[in-house]
Amino acid sequence: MTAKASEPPIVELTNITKCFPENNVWANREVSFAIRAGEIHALVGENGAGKSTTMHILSGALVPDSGSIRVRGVNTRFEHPRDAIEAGIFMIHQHPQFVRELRVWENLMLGIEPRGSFGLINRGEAVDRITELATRYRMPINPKHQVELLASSQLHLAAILGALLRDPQVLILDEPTAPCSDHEVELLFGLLRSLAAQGRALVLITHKLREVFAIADRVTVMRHGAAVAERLIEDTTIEDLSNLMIGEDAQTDGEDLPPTAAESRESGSETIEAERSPLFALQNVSLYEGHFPLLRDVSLTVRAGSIVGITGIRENGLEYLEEVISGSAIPDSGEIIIGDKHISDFSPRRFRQHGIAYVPTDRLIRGASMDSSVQDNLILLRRKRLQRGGVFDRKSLDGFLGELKHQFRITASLQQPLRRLSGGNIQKVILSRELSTGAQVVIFSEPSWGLDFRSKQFVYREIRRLREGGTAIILISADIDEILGLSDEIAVMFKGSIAAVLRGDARTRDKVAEYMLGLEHKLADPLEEAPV
Amino acid sequence: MIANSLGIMAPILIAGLGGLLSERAGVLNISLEGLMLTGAFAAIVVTAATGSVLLGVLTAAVAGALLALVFSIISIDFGSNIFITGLGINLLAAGGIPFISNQLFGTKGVLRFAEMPVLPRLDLTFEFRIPLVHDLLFGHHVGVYLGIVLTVLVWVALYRSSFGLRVRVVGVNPETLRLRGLSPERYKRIAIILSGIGAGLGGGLLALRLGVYLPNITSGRGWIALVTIYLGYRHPGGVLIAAFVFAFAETVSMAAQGVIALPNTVLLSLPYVLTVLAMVIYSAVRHSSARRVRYQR
Amino acid sequence: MNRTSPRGSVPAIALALAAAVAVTVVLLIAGSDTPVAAIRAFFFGPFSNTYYFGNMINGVTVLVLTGLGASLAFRAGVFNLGGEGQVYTAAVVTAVAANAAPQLSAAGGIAFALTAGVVAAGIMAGLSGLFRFLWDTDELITSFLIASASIPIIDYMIVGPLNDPASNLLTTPRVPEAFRLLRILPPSRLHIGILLALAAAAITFFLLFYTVRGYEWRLTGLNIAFARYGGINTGMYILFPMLISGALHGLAGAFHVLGTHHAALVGFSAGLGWNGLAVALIGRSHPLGVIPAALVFSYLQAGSRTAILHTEFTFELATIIQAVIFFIITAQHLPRILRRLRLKRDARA
Repeated sequence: MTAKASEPPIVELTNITKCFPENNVWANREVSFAIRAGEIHALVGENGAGKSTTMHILSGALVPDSGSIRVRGVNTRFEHPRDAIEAGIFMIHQHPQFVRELRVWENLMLGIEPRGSFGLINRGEAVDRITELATRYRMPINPKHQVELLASSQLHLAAILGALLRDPQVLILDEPTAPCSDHEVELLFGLLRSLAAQGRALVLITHKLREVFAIADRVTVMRHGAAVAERLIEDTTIEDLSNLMIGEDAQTDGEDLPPTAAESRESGSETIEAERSPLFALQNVSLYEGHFPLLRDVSLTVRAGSIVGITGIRENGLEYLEEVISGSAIPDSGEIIIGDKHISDFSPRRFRQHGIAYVPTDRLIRGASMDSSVQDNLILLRRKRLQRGGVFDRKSLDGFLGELKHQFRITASLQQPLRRLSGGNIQKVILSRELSTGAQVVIFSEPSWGLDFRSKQFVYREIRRLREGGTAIILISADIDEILGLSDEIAVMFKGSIAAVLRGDARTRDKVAEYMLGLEHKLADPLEEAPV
Repeated sequence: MIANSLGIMAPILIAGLGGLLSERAGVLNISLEGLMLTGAFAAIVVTAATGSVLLGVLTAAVAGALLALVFSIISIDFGSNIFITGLGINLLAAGGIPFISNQLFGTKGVLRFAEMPVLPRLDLTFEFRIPLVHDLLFGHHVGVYLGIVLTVLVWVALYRSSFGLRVRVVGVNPETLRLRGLSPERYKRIAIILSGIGAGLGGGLLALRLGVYLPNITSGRGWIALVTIYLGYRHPGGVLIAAFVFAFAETVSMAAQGVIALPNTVLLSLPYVLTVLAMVIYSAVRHSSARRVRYQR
Repeated sequence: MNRTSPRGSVPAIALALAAAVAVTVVLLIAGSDTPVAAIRAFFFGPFSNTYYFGNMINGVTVLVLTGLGASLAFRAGVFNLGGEGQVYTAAVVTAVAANAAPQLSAAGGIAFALTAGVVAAGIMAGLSGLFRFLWDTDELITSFLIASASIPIIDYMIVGPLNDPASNLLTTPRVPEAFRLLRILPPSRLHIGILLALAAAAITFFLLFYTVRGYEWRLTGLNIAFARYGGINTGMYILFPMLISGALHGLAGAFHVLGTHHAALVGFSAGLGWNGLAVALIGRSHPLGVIPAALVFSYLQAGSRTAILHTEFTFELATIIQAVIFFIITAQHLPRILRRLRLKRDARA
């Protein structure tokens, strides 16, 4: 779907500059960028490179300090998202802005509600229009559903539907694949291709280079707030782009390569594994909502010095498993064993006391207090060790924080609110806090969501370091690459149960995918049908 | 007793419905009391001057709307804390009304005018009537009917109109509205003004029912209206029920005066006691029954 | 809003104060036949003699305590809207306790009466905390309702069974002389309660920002889910903040009786709860920010009092001035609005 380069762009940004005075960051420096009809234009760069800022400016959510925006050759000024929408530009944010309490159709039609009698909303028409559009693009979205019930990948699809209702000529998507499984990514990409074929211009913000080559026609690389290069996709390579993204300096660090399935792990480790002591186990754990099973007979054992990866397509129980192993939800039956203790008293607090550290999916709510200072976020788990007679002890506080800053290379000032930090640095703070206690069992749930290359590498390095140090690790992730790259054992969830636990050579992308989709489940597990 | 309760309920209900709209838009309007007081004053003055109850009621609504407009300018455009702005509006009404009253009539106190029309009652006589049902449905002052009609209207506006949808969104996440190309400030402002209209109307009806303006005539009814919003779980039907519960409790305590050997003033606290009891019992029952997945604190 | 320190907002507050003074002057000129006298009485009256000055500072005592009470609840993410009833109840309980035990030593009697008032108000607010903790009942409404229920009852008690027949005011009997707090600046009513109130602010500041419990308190207020996952017993930080918020309001009521009036007058607490909330919000819910906020507030009230006493300035105008000052004192966009006005003027020039 490569567009003719001669065609004039729909939108041109010229020398866009934006500074955030509150943290004194040049988010955009003289960024110039052109978007052409029928083209999928990828915008890549690390977190904080300025991709989102540029697109927020293009979609009217932010007003630039200087620079110009030309739409079809005409100079325009976007003061409000309204102006951009009127110019045919619509952006879908990384976390789609939905009101959870409302229905899907109410969210999508917000601002363009079809009117019926007495000026009231014509609900029938609203639902019909969405259903029609969803059917045309084969999206499994029911407009009458409550948004709360949607998985995050479905939210992105729904957000795209909402955008299409406005028939935009330019559609901007910010990390739309972050919460998607491979299967869902394919679905999404098919959709994007057909949209481009209709002559729309698409901008895809991402930092997954593989996706760029899978779908984009053109790619612009941003670094430190500037657009450093623009390439046609056929004129570039992954190496070229990653050089542009991170700069030449980071390249020599061999350890920083992303983990892949091909990465060799010391063979023979499995033989020792059985002898290592189990530190955390679930035995036949079930969780119900009414009579509906959310988790069925889940059993797992995690041993010292090993990583158990748990994966699956979202909505197959991963999130409930996270609730149970973090102590948030009380299982209806089954046992949880931490160390050698059978747990009867479930609460996040108890689980902490039993020596479990937890890096949650929901970082900004469960994982961190955004309005508290970096320091207050760091000391949470060690607060009782840093005091004398209930009063914080300046010396041990400074000692602890200094050590943490050094060990985890935290550069942010300790007194600033966490909200001011980038996503990668926030995760760094969370990680360093959770690891500050020397917990025997660490739960990581989607530890690399939305992180850029460098931050991801940091997270992976820490997980591996913990494993070497003898910690038992549970890694919940929908990202197959991450699971394959890190796990010693892979548990695949399907419909609330563990469909298979893959060890050794069985840990292949194909096997995992088959169990995820429930294909292998039927074929290779005849015991399922047999009476017990 | 029911009829009496309905009469007491109406002003609280209407002010509560107004407050509900601004609450749903994310603006806790604690100035309902001051807005009601303003409406009461305006209604009496204009009714006395023109002899028209209708004009009086309309002026009450307009006066409430204007004062609420001030509220919206200060809270939205000046960016002042909503709570303190609300307190300020209450003070403005408490100081401004006697000030104006003094300028106009030379008194800061009771305003009583001769030959003032009062709020009409809806009385229909049929040949065949079932006594109880008839008493329940008819013979109330027009405010009661207005209150019930407004409950339905507010419900329709909130849940069936695009305005209501936008108001509900602005209360939960204003940024969402902005990103859809709409102005959050605009919907907040309209909702605040509507709350002023509701409270102004409520105050006007309260005063016109008595046919006199007394200093502090609202005596906390604006605050009660505010409570009905939460007690009614931020839903128009809930506000109706909550306003009735409160009015009924007040009626009961008035009726109890003759029966129970408790002084008049103590009984004034009965509506609050009953409401708090109802609320605690309701939440306790709900808490123990409605658990889906069991979560730990 | 900067939550850890009020310092960042000092320029904005200074601007708001300047605007408030300007508006007050305009209103005084517009609303008075003798504007110069009114302005002088309003702004300088509170400093003209020890009586006025002492009473102004004494007003700070109650405002600091109620402001602290409101702030501490805010900091834990709960709301205590029942301040007025709590102050009122505590005052009557203190008065009754003081009169019930005249045989006690001075220190013992003061301690006993103070404790009684503080405990009564603490329980009153703590009840709302308990309901919230047990059944998730909204503490914002229950605290308001419970306080509203208490007011008519207290009214009745002061007018009825507890009334002082010797007085022609509607008030409880005066407390024994031995139990009255030391006056600092006679003939004004300023008593040593002010020192305790300031100490309370300092102690609260220390507890909130330098202790583990204070840390847990603040964290629960900022993000309760996070606090829970960090192993903090968040239930405690729903219950205790309400209890202590009530207790501080109680202390304000007790001081009123033992220090200021030596008796509980009917209706004396009207508006006190709201003023406390206003002081907390103006002081950005910071224990030390509450002190200047209370000072400004008390100065305003004292200025109004002297202007009313010495000129034909009226109570209504004073109320209106207070309203207008409320409008601007927290106005965040004020600098921006002024800048825009200046730009417009420059463009025109």
